[in-house]
Amino acid sequence: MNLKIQNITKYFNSNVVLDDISFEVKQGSCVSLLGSSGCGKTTLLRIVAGLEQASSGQIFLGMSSAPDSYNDITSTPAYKRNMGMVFQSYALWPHMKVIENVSFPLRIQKLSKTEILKRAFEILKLVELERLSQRFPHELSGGQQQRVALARALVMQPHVLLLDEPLSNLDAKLREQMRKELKILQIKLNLTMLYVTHDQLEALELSDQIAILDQGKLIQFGTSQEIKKNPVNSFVAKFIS
Amino acid sequence: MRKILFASTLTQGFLFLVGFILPVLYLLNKLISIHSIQYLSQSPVKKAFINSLIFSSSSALISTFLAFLFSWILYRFHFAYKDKILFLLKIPYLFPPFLFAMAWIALAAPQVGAIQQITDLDFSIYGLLGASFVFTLWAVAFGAIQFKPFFETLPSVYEEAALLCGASPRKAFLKILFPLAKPQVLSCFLLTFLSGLSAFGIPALLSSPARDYMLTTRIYQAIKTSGGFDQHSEAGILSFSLLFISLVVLGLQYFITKKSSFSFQAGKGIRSTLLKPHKTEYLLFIFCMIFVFTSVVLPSFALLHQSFLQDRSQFISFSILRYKYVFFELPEVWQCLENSALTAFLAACVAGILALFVAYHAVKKKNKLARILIEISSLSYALPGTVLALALLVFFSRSLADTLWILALAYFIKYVAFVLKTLTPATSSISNELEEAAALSGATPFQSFTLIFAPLLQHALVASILLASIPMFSELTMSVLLAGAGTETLGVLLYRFQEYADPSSACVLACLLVLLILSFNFIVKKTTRGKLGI
Repeated sequence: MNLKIQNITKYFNSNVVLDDISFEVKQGSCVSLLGSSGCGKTTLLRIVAGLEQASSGQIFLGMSSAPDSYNDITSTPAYKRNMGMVFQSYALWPHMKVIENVSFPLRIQKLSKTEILKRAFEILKLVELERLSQRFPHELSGGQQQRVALARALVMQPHVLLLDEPLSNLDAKLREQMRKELKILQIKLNLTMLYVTHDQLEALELSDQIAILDQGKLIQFGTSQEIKKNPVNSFVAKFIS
Repeated sequence: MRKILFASTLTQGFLFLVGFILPVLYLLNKLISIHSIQYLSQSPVKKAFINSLIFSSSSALISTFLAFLFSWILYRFHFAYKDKILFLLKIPYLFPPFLFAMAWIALAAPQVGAIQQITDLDFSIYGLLGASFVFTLWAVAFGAIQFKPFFETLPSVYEEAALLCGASPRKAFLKILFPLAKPQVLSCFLLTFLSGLSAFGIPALLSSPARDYMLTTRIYQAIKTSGGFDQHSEAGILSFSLLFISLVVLGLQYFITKKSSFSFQAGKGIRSTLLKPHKTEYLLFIFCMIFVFTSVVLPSFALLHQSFLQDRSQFISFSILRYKYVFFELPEVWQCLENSALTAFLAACVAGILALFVAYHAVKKKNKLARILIEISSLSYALPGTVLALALLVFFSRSLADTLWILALAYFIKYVAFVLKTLTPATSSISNELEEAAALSGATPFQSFTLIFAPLLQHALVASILLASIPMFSELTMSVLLAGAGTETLGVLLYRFQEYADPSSACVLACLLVLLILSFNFIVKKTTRGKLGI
């Protein structure tokens, strides 16, 4: 599915945190929201997820093959959007084992037990965590927790996968490894991804296109080459270098 | 510095030894020889036992449920004025429960109650049901205080993750939030149950007049009628039962808290976002406001109204004569106020100063004795005041039992946990590096304690002393057993006025108490910039 963000503006009291943001994430591509702390990238991700309401603007989901059939999901509640999300803190439920965390979306869909187990183990196999299915989150390392969070987001076959600085809690070596694995997974599953980061290296390696935000404004949107070649201002040039 | 720390720890240890451990062991030793079972099987004792269980378990069950529901609504959803409602929901916790009994007597006593006079309804607040109802109103505040840390530290991402997995808000509540809160819910139920079991004021004022006696009121009655304690007395057996149940419940609560609580992950995503309320949540919010009106506004109005009432049989007949009478014509009022202030001030200050050193000794120096003392303080706080008072009565000679010293000792033993619970986490939160930097600048350990550590803790210290002195100042359960002629406290005087002589004067004193407690709370909040107090 394509994700279209159109004229999104968000106020917190009288402060503008997002100012008329528009761009599109094509099916099977990854767009990174890049910017320094407080520029509004997480707020935009949460608006796309349905966890926050935009003050104005719209969010659409649709197929490129039928541009007229885009659905406006701006007022659709989060639980009806079918979007997977990996939180920065992973948000793994501490009272549930790995398998219970991962199979939760399927249990909500009321699938049969065999189907739930089949799909949950398939996804655990994909993230190489099959053997840890009976562990609780606190018994896992940071990297393993990150994979569980990813598996939970993927198991429901989401229209769009949203990632909020998912690698920021990992050490440098693991971060690099997970970055590569994420890219492989994205290509393998043809995932549409919106990825929040403040790390330009991460953005450059993972994404097909980058949206650079500063103080709630979209400064530049394009491929990494385009941005590197023609930065619109000194801020972008400095940030991407 | 080491000597000062050891001296403080040993002093607190000594006070616990003579004021808690030895008296309770002495009481147990006296009771162990008694053939308890035959006493317990006697019909009136059995009835008190059953009444206590019904009173404690029903109030604990309903109040825990309501406290959790209201806390969820007020902490997790966005409503206008929710902070004010939350304040009103929690404020009863600061007041002694017997004030609520007094207020509800003014509101719903047969024939003379305000509700009866206005509506012509024929019902009575007296009896087991009335007592359970009033205690439940107070206990919801007690529960809300216990759920506060859970809801304040619970990151919203857990519910948000469930929503993104396709769960509706109701499903997210049932499948994620409630299972996460289960240890806190169980712990809250058990602590409220224990609090109900130890309660004296509400049962004495509301259920005893209907001859629905409970364990605490029977112990009080037995001591007052027999003139003291002997090893074959009913008071001894009942105290033993109360102590036994309390220890079992405390053990269970300790096990649940230590073994089954979840720790939440930290990170940027942890910030809690308020959810948008829908129809069900709005209905619950309205219910919460009705509850707050019933538990806080109505009783406050009743106390105020009663204190200005000239004639109890007439609903509108106001006068300030009662205030003049209480404050200028009753010398015992000033005597009791002085006794309460003196004992509460002494006990709270000693508790504050010792706790400052004990917390430092336990947290920064990892001293085992200091750590044990912190654990014992939780135990002494949770044990029923009636049992503690009885143990002190039995252990000390009658000569000491009739002085203010025994009251101050009892208050210290019971409420030092309040101070330690504030100062221990505050001590942990001060980084060791601050003292290390002082040491590298040439400060001795004593200097780094007095110049770095103590100034950083001064607000928490003052606040904890004030917080501890609130329940001490209005204490009833222990005071009613320990106070003798000339050593009566405000709580005892209030109880006597309400029970035997003059309910309207009792309401005047109750209004004074409410005013004092609210002022204390205001000072605590201002001193700590809202971190402590309600």
